Amino acid sequence: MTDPLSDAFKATPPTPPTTEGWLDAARRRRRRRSQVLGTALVAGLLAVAVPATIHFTEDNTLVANPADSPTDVPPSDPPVPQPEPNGLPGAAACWTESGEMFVDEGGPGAPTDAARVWFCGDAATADGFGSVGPMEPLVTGVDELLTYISEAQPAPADQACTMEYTLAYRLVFEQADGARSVVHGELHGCRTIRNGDQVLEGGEGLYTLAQDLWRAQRDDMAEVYDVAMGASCQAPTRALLPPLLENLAAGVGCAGEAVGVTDGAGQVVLDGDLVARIVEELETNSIDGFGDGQLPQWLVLTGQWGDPMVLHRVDEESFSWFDGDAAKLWRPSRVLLAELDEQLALAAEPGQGVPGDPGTGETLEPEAPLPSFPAVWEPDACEGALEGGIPTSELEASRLADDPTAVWLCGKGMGDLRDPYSPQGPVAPMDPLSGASGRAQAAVDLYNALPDPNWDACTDELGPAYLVIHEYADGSRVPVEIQTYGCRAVVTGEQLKAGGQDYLDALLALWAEERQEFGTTGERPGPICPRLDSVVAVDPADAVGGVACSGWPDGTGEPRGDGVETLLPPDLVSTVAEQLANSAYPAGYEGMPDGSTLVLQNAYGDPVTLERLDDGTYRWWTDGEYRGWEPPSAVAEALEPYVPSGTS
Amino acid sequence: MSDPETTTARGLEHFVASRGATLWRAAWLLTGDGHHAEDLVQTALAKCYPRYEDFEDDERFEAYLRGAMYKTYCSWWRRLSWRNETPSAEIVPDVADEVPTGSRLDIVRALETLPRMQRAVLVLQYLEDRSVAEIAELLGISAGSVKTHSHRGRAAMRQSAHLAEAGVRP
Repeated sequence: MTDPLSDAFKATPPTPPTTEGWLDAARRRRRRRSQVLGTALVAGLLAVAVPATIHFTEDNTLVANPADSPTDVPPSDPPVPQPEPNGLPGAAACWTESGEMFVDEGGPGAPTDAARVWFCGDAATADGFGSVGPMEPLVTGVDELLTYISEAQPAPADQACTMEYTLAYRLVFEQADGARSVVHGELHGCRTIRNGDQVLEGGEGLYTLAQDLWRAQRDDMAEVYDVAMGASCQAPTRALLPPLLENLAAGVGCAGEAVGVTDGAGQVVLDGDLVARIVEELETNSIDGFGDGQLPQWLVLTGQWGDPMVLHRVDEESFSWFDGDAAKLWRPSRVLLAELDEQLALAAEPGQGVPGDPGTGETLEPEAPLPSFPAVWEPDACEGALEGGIPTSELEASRLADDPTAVWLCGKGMGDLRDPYSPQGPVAPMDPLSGASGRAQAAVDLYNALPDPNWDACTDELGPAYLVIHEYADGSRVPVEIQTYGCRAVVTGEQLKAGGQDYLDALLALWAEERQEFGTTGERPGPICPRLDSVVAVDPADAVGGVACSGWPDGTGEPRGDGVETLLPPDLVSTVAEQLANSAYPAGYEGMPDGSTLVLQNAYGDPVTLERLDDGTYRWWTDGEYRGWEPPSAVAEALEPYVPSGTS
Repeated sequence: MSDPETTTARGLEHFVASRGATLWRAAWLLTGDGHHAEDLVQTALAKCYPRYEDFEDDERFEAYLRGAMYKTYCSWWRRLSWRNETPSAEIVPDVADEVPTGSRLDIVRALETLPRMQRAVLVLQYLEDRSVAEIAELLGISAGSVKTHSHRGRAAMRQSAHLAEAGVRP
């Protein structure tokens, strides 16, 4: 198998360095991070001497069970989560016995030495505004925090401080004998550290260092423990250690009586598979920015260490969340949104949503699924093809039957169709080959003449596939899959033939003849954005219609805005088409797409995508090369309302 | 007769000597830098070496270590800071210090424009020749996501002037 990119990847890395000393270095790293301080755990928890699986029951009782598989023996003072037992947020060490925040007002601040440190947020109640820290202490790297504080410079007395709230935190240092003292930090105002009676610079730096040390400790402990934490609808909205998406494993759906009221909220536990799909979509279906509005529904996801990630419902289609410090807006796919609506409807019913409550026995009808991002249009004969939902079957004697009434060509999805930013296609012609013209039979003849598989011409490239749907008078439909990647196979069930690309090219030639004979088809229905391209070669100078797409992902895949699709007026399309006929030029690979496109269609509804580059020119791929176009100022001005330059 | 601990230590030494370079090459494409590559490999090794004896053979342990390395690379993106630990006690000037030039530099520059997950998928696909299913399992994502990341990564690299100069067309 040959592939230029594969060859380039293999040839690119330089000669590796010597590996001498690597294992010793790895051992030193592990020793530094697993330093045992030899103190006992807080009373009430196990000092685990054998590998164990620890989990919380739904009422947050800590239970330890023997592990199922051998693991490394944990250190004798492992950083086991120690939540506040009365439901207050975060670790028990962040609170006094009377349930107040442990602030140690007037206290001495950081000690010279400490056995462990607790990272505490500023949420005053479980469901309050503010932040919550991890429930486990830091036991390795405590000295780094103490050093940072001791070396911090006094804050200038006359510095200008801002008034906005961001976040305040506490580091609670605990001695071996259990004595505690507090250092306060803030990310707002003067961004200072308050250490006893000292006011020091470095509130943000100390916060960052604490996060890094906790994460480093967790990385090492991940091999030893498997702690699945229960989520709760009463969770502060921000975590000092925002959970990594890949660690989220549990969750609840929550429905309250009003926005901002978590007291008495109905709760339903989300199963692990649903949480996994939510996480996957958060990664692929989110854009930067805050949502506008809020409904009294939210999701709380947690992972191995119990840090909450709260997703607030913004409207019928969206949830807002924070990826670290970055505000994100997530639009679930249609399928997932329907499932979430069902779960949240359960949560909203008193007695139905609370675990363990048998409820009233009333049967609930789930609400009708709400539309999210509609799938790209496809002809009825191709329904489900883009989602990959039309399986092929083996043919008798590896031959198609004669006399089809029509033959359709359907694009088979290559991207993740749940991802609105994934390319949808390329798409196939809207019109079929007809039996009356004889070209449907010609398509059957092409398939029946295909040779046996040839494994010498296989490549690694992932690419599109197509389905050829043959319709017959008895109502039967026989699909054949064409793969234009890998070995270019033509697939019917387990049967394979070769020559997929040639077969496709020959079919497209039949379509060209069919169209010449029967004329135009019409406009392709939407949605179109952010891009659609056709398996048929389209000259944008032949465009008769189109849409403008603004605020979609740019060339690196990062979203540039909210993603809007706007129909272009026919006269503007004509102007653009005329320009393209006269002013297009060969273009290269230079330039970065800025997330705006024009998707034009010819008289048969075949689309072609012109992507706008950062320099304001447009580019499209045709016939094995890029073509470019620079709109004159009058045309650029006419296009501005449809593809605003400010959205990129 | 050697005690088990010594046998394990010798096995690990042999493993690192025979497989470390292969992992470093992948780490180099991921990070674009020799020292960061060594940091990444050693971070994964520090996490995984205590479990060496749990695996039937070096091949299985290598697969486990590789998974830890790629996941560490992807998760570093979400951290607030890059942990620039000194990879070894003593830094030996060698080809790890080499500044890429020519077509090698073009590939590095083209990869630098990609988000980390796309980069990880392409390195697994084109350097390590992994299948979609293997990549999905190794990174803990769906096969559909693998294809999406691969497509986007190739599309972005297709637009890279650096690869055009190198005469490579994805």
